[in-house]
Amino acid sequence: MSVYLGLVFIEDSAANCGMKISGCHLAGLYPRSDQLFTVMKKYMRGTASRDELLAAVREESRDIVKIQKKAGMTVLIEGQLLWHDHFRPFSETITGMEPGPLTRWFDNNVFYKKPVIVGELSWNKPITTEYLVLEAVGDEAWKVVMPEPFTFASLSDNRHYARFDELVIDIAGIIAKELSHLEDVSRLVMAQLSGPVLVQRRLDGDSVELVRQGIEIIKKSFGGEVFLHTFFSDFSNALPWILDSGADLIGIDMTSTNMDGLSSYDIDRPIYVGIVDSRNSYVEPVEELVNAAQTLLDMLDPPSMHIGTSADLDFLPRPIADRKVMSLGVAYRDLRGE
Amino acid sequence: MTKLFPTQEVGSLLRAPFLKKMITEREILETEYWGRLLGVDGYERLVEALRAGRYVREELYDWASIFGIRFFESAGLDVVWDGEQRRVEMYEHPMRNIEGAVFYGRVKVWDTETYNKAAITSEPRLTRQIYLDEFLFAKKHATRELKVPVTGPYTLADWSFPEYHYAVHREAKSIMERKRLARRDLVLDLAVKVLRPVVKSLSEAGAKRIQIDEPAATTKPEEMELFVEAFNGVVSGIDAKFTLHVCYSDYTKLFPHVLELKMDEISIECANRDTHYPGLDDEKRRGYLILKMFREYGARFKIAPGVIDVHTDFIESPELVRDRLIYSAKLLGDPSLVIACNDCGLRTRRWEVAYKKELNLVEGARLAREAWEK
Repeated sequence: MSVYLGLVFIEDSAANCGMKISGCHLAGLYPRSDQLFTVMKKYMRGTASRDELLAAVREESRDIVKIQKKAGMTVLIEGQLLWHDHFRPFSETITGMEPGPLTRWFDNNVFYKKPVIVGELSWNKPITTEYLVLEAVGDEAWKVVMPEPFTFASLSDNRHYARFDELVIDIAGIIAKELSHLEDVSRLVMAQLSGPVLVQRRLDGDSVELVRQGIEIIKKSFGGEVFLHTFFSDFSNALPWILDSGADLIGIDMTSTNMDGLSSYDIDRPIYVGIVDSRNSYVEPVEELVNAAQTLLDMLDPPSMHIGTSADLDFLPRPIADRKVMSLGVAYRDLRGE
Repeated sequence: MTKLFPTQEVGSLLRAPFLKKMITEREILETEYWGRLLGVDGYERLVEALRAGRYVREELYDWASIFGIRFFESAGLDVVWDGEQRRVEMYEHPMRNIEGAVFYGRVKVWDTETYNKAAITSEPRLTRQIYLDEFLFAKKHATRELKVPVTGPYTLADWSFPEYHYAVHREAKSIMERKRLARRDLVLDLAVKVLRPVVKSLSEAGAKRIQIDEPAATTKPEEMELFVEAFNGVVSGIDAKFTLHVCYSDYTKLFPHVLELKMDEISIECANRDTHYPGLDDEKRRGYLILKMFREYGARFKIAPGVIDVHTDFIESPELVRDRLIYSAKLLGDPSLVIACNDCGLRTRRWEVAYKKELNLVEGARLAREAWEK
């Protein structure tokens, strides 16, 4: 890799690194502060009004955006503070889907309400705008985090569709329309599709094809970048098919992936590497992040690489998440030689 | 002959009415009602003190412990505890007594439910005995056998951030390997440096039964060997009967590792996954089918399948309890392996509901004994 300076190319490892590392962002939902949890609990108990809740969420969303801008994130997240889990806006809004029983979220001490599919699903009206504070991102480039359709269907309790593939396709259609709507009303430049199920085990050919179809449906409606992120399990479970899944950017949780398993593959797509552990309060020093990114770049040699957090940051207390974001931002600038 | 289907509880109970922040006439009347019903010696003095507003908070905890013990004893259980009246909950309570544990703020468990998750920022050490005082007090007041619940090392580690141990392994060959090593060290440190001294001191003080609570046991199946190593590291060579309590988990993940545990009993939640209909067929007793696996693997420890669901106000009839116990005994092929127990602690149920459940637990066990011995 080289740095272009006029007509002279300078071979330089750091410069090589700088050009290839082209993005830095957070992979998921941001944690709520203790204060916001208090307001939310009051709202649930009926001792705070909806207006009070929304005012607190607005203020905190603005703050989260401010922190990311200060840290130098290249694409912002809004925080998605009103999303109790990845599925909730959908299961609470779409006809034919209901929030079901509390279910463990992979191997975490965190639970989500399993979506229960009780009828045919379709997109009739905007779903997530009620759950987002779009004014917090204003006219900044931002990304939204939604479940990848195959993952969504796999983590639901399907009591209606005779065929699983039809459920995946319908969910993909809904997500596609929702993203298109958000693209119309804001500067949404990226859709992160969170797909932990894709790496939980090796998928069979039919499942892989369904994942591809889902992404294809989304890309037909959404003009922004599609970022397919995987986490909580070893990324090599999805190799090599995931490289040809149709996503523009493919995410790897480096806290759950054995690097040796990656080195034998030709990573010929832009990748995102989650090098900041979303599930540990240890704040990675800048030099550790820089070293981790450089090692991965040397080893995998992808066409370009984004860096960020391994998964949603809402496994952490809010003050720790803020510190991690700042450390990540400095590491990104160092890697870019800025 | 040993009593078949002995009864025991799992640990917690909703806090006594007089432990509420605001004590009004309602709480005083409730105290009077329960004091009389449970046969608490001298409860009138407590009621009088509450009425006059002349009490010290610490004394109220002592009273609560006595009420908790009498709650289970008067319901007729064979093995009892004080309902964990002095504990906030099962995680923060012990973590507050561990050097190196720092609380940065709350994290989500679901929706707006949170817990205060600790980071382990230095080598963990026990700063003071966590459960000893409450055991010594309970021992003085209990007339039945006691079982002390203790949160296990694997769960404490799994619910904490391994910050210090992660920092120690900065030379690991990858982030994933570093994380694995950090978790392993934290689990084993908590087992050997914190929980073992806790359990040892309880045993030395006369605790004959100790229950290790490990609700996180099966959440990371790839760590089951580590779980076993930690559990055995806590209990090996200590003179007490040990029960492992695991709830709301995928119990298939326990196998085959569970056979390596140095324990006398396992307590698991089953009623929550069962039907409410009496009967002995597989469909009605579907919550207990997992017991087949224990038999297939030749487990020889006792099993306490929960026959009382602690997450509903539905009161299990004695006949339902009986059938759950008999079905369990048939699946295991040996009634002497079965203990009549709740699914988990009763902290989420009102006392009147919890008490009816415990009365029926005892009566159901009696019916099962009668039916089996016929």
